[in-house]
Amino acid sequence: MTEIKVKQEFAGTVVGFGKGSLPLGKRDDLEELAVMALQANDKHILNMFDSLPTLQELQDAKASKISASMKAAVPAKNTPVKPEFPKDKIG
Amino acid sequence: MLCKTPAALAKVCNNTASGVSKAWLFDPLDFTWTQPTATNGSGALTVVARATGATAIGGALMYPVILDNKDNASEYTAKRSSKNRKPKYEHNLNLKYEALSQTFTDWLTAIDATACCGVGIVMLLNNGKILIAGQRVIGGTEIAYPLQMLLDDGTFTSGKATDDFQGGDLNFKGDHNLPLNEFTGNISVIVGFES
Repeated sequence: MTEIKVKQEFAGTVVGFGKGSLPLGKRDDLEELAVMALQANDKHILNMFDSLPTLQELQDAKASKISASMKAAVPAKNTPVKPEFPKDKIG
Repeated sequence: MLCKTPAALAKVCNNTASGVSKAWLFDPLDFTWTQPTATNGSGALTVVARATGATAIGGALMYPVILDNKDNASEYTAKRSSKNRKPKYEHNLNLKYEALSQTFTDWLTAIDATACCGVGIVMLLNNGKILIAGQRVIGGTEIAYPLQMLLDDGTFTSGKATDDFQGGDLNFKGDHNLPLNEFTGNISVIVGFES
């Protein structure tokens, strides 16, 4: 996937979305901004980047991230679940 | 679809508290907004940034207006009508400011000076929704038909009894063919542009 790269001259430009307004160089959620700018074809925002992935690449990356987090949350199928009893109740 | 597709409308079951909690005024040319479905001006606004050439030092800020949310609460209303099958929304934000003062006079003088181009208004509702009125720049480009919100009329009173309201009762008004769009970001986005 193409790297998200902000143009040097826009690193200090404050852009507001999601959780708050921050300079582009300090944001850790540029994927989210890239998706919104590409969906809207917002030339003002798109012009702040040197390079961007395509909308499809960003959406695929997001989907696989969600899928990975779901897999991590669900226990593997064959993992036996050991019941836990309070020790004082085991006779 | 043989003519035009209508849209579904889901019931809102979460916070539906009424009232305007806080408002911000801005110069509509100072801020550019991102709108995913900008084809006809409808669609939630997702991103805001200063427009090209606008700077915080130059005054491109969101100016907060602290509202009384108890006895003299402010209210946003819109009246919809239609003629020749064309809708018209008469938007109105009623602001009540308690305390006649030099601060109020200075603020009014500044707002009166915006009469040539109108003001943009951000409204934070008590249910947490953020409505935007009067945005003029989308994707870095001025839109053809913006909603122009103007300070239209107002009354001022000192009150008679000591516990009467004393201050100004102001109406920002503007007509457009669309209802207001929502901003999807957190309110801290707007606060971040106060300075």
